[in-house]
Amino acid sequence: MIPPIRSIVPGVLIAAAIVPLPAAAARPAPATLALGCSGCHGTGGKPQGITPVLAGKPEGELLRSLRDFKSGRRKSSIMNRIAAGYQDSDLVELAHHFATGGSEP
Amino acid sequence: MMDRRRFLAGLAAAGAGTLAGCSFNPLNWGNAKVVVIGGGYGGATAAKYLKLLDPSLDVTLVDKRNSHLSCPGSNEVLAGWRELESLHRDFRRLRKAYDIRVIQAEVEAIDGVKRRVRLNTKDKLEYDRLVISPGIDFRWKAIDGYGRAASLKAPHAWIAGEQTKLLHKQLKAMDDGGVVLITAPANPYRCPPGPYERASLIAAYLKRYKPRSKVIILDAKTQFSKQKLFLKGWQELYPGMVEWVSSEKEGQIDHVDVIRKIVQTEFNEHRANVLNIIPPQRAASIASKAGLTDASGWCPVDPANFASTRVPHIHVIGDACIATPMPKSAFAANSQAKVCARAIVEDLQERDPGPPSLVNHCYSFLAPDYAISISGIYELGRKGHELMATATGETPLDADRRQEARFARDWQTNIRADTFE
Ligand SMILES: Cc1cc2nc3c(=O)[nH]c(=O)nc-3n(C[C@H](O)[C@H](O)[C@H](O)COP(=O)(O)OP(=O)(O)OC[C@H]3O[C@@H](n4cnc5c(N)ncnc54)[C@H](O)[C@@H]3O)c2cc1C
Repeated sequence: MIPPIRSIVPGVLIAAAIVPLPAAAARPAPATLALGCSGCHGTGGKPQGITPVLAGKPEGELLRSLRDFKSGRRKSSIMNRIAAGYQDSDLVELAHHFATGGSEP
Repeated sequence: MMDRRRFLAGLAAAGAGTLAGCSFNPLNWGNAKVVVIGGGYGGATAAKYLKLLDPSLDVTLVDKRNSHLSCPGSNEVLAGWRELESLHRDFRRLRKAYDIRVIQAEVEAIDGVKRRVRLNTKDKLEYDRLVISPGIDFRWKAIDGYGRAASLKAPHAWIAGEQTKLLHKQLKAMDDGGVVLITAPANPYRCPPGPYERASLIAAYLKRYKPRSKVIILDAKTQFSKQKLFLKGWQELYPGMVEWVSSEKEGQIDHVDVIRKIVQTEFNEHRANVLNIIPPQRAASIASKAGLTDASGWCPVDPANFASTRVPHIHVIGDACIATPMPKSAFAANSQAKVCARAIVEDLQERDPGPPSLVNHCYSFLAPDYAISISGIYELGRKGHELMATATGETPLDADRRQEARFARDWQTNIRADTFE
């Protein structure tokens, strides 16, 4: 195995250290965000029981639900507090990820 | 830039035969070796997701037992509505469906320089990356009078198994009118709402079979997880049966006598018929042996990928790591494992995994059809080396507890599948 590029090109690291942070910090990748859902909604968004299935749901429907949970327009004893933790752009990515099957689980 | 997979595919097309005899075989790159120590909620999830995200990885999972015994659900054994045996989680699916090598052995030592793990069978495993999720051990010297031997008289039952059975047996043998005394430790410890769920479910059992009995929680804290919800639930379900005693009133535990079943606090003496001591904890001993812990007894990590800040190429997840403000829960361990697995896979392919996103959502049962929950969503804080919660919350006071109980049952099924199947 070879070490990651970062450690064999020290210049990259130094350059990164002196570049000021961009105004808006990067958001987690869609695949990373989606991993958070599987603790309840199952691997790849396919749960058992009464927990809603996410995999393959229409994107518009998913996004509307997530936004309504975040705003409180739709009441849920659980999803209101979960959706509140994400930015709107995250919800857009999550809806797209589960609607399209995503490239990762 | 061409990623490693495409690069390898190109090599294969060019004819792998031409590589024979090379002292340096690039085909090995795709088979980076990842060893995972601990087949609990953190370790089993990490092993599964490593293979899901990159099937070419060579993943080995080591646990000292041939199946994991789940702590979530173990308080229900005390209530009498679940068999301990139903909490076994074997590694068959991980082996068969994900092609993970599973070894039953105790890890005795980790050599972070040679990147080698030594097992009690004397076998050695080499790794490119090591993930460790060994759970907790107890600080046996923290409470005067409560050591390993004492726990055979007054169980902790905080690692599921014989201890859970012993506590259950003692509850069943207790006469009506008895006092069950639970001592809860200061933060941080495994499962912050756990002691209060336990008090609730013991009360459920007592209400049915020994209604003149009582549960007292002697707490080393002045407040606790889901406090309002628990207090409300106890009033509704078990009026007068559950008493919570804050350390404000009692001070800390001074001494425990497990033979006479007495707990001496700074200001008082408490007599019990059944005594359940939940002692202060630390990361499991293999973590400190490997030099992964700091003065707190837990393992500091970079929350972006759960890499140890102490030893390179080792990642620590689950109860053993410091992931404040995330609690030490199975849910958190599972979430951390996935972020860690993805970061390892991306890093091995020389890609940036990007910032982490983590979730915790923990249910507590108060009765079979009555549950409450607490949740948190976490990401990197502004300084970039600490997690922060972007939202936290609890079951609304007016929410339907039956519905929460149905979701709690679902969670047990779904987390089991997401972790072990
Ligand atoms: C009563 C109770 C109720 C709980 N309820 C909930 C709940 O409802 N929801 C929730 O989210 N959490 C709950 N928890 C918390 C949960 O059990 C832990 O947070 C979770 O198990 C942590 O996972 P882990 O991977 O860090 O450790 P563990 O799950 O403990 O796994 C560690 C594994 O490592 C193995 N191991 C350790 N050292 C070695 C070694 N040297 N060599 C080989 N193998 C080794 C052990 O055998 C074990 O299988 C509860 C805990 C308790 C005590």
